[in-house]
Amino acid sequence: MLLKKKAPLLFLIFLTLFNSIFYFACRPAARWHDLSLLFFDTICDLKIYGTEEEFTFAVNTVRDIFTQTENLFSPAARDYSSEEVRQLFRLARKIYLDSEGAFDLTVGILTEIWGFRSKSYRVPQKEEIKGALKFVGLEKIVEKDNQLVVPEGVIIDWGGLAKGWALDQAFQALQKEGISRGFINAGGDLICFGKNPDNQAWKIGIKHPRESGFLGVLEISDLAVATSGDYQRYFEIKGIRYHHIFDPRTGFPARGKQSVTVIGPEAAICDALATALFVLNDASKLLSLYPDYGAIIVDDQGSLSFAGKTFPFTPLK
Amino acid sequence: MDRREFIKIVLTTSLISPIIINQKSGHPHSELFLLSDEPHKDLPFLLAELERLNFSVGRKIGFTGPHPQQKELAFSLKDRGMNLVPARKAEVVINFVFLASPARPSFTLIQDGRIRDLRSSRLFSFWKQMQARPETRSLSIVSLNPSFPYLQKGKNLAIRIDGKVVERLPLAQSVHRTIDTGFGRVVFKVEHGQAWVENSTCRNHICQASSPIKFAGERIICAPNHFLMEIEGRSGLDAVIG
Repeated sequence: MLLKKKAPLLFLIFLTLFNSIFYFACRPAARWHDLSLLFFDTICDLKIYGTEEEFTFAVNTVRDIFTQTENLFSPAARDYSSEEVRQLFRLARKIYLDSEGAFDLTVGILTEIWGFRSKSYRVPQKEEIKGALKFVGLEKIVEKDNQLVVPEGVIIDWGGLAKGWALDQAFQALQKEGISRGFINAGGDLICFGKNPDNQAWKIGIKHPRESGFLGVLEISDLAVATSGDYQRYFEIKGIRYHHIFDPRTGFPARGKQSVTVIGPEAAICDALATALFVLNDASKLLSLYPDYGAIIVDDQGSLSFAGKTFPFTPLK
Repeated sequence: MDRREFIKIVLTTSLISPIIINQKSGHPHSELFLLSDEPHKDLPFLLAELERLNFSVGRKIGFTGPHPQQKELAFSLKDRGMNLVPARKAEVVINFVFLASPARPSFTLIQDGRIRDLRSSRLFSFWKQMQARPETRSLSIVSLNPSFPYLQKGKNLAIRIDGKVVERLPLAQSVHRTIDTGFGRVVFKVEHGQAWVENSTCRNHICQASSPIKFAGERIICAPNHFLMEIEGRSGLDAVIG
């Protein structure tokens, strides 16, 4: 009798249990996925936690955004009317003004005369540098009728900004899709989100600018990192290192630092601040305008210092 | 230092993570947190007292970053027979942190991730003397017998072309090799446990400019040639940038 009374309830419990088991058994399994892609003249690593479907979405999204970035911001690109180009130009102008000209997109002419574009490296004559500096200065470019007006002779170098911007775009697209754990590493720029496979903050090693091994290890989540250094693109003449990060005020490679790493919420801003701080002597002044950002600086003597917001960092040297 | 005050200071800085890492590493490790404007005067005494309490204090000192009293510290510790060496080779590593808000001068010893009580009347009277000084923002962190959990020397070098491992080479053997990747040629060398790119047909030669690699997780990339070489092994790192 009792059983008969309770039969509908038991049936309901059975149905709920069956449904739950069926749901979990059929739900596509989430796992960690890794992939390397070739973009921006380097190997970009993608690590994502999600289902096969989510991973395919992530790979396609990152590929599309990176391809679009390479097309829009390559040295040969001359389309100054797209919304993306104008948007990134506005960000560049803000950092140009905040850094009192230390970060400047128009250093393209300097990259050219020092031979970094053609790979025929040379130290130009002082007169040639003086002449080139006439084409340096972001105020020379204006936004008019929904497009940038770039005067003849001025060469835009998006190098210190575009890669970070691409990471921000990719991260936003992945977030929208509900992908909440992983990282995208594009060499000198990285964005990481959620927890790592050990359910901890991501452990990011920063390459030492002069020696084997790492300068130290950052432990971060939901943040971007960008490094500017004098140790990748350079040439040496009579023992003097000439690298590709120019001081827009002198026309010469910026002196006094080996590397600058900036950590903060947006990769594009990290990217630009890393370049600006490589050029500037006073890091704290610029970083006071960006309170969510912090920097790890290695000076030309190899000494480590910190500026702005602090993040968990274990130095190894 | 009062425990509560110490924890408050540690939590407001980024010091907590190295403490946790060292606790997890299983490597016997102690850290002396010294809140003082005159570490060069306090540290020789404190280290001598720690030795009296049977703590092993090495003779090689190093700095992991700039310290405002670096010269004075090196000078005063030299009197104790301690010599300055690069931080990675040091047995006593000194780090400096400038605190956001001032705190009362004091010292705390952390052993294997826990606060250690030091039972010594001399240290107690020294601690009381320090407490009478004006507040300070200078924190010196002195690591005794430090470990570097992220610097593990690797055994093998993996060569990847287009992401696929095409060869694994032991780092213990000397190798001088040219690889045709299908996109260009890369010449690399393995010697004395480290590997580097000697030559490449690429345009930028970033690979050639890269320092030799020897620690697990380190890699050299030649993107135009779709070439990557990497030291295999557990590094504890998720990613490397720079």
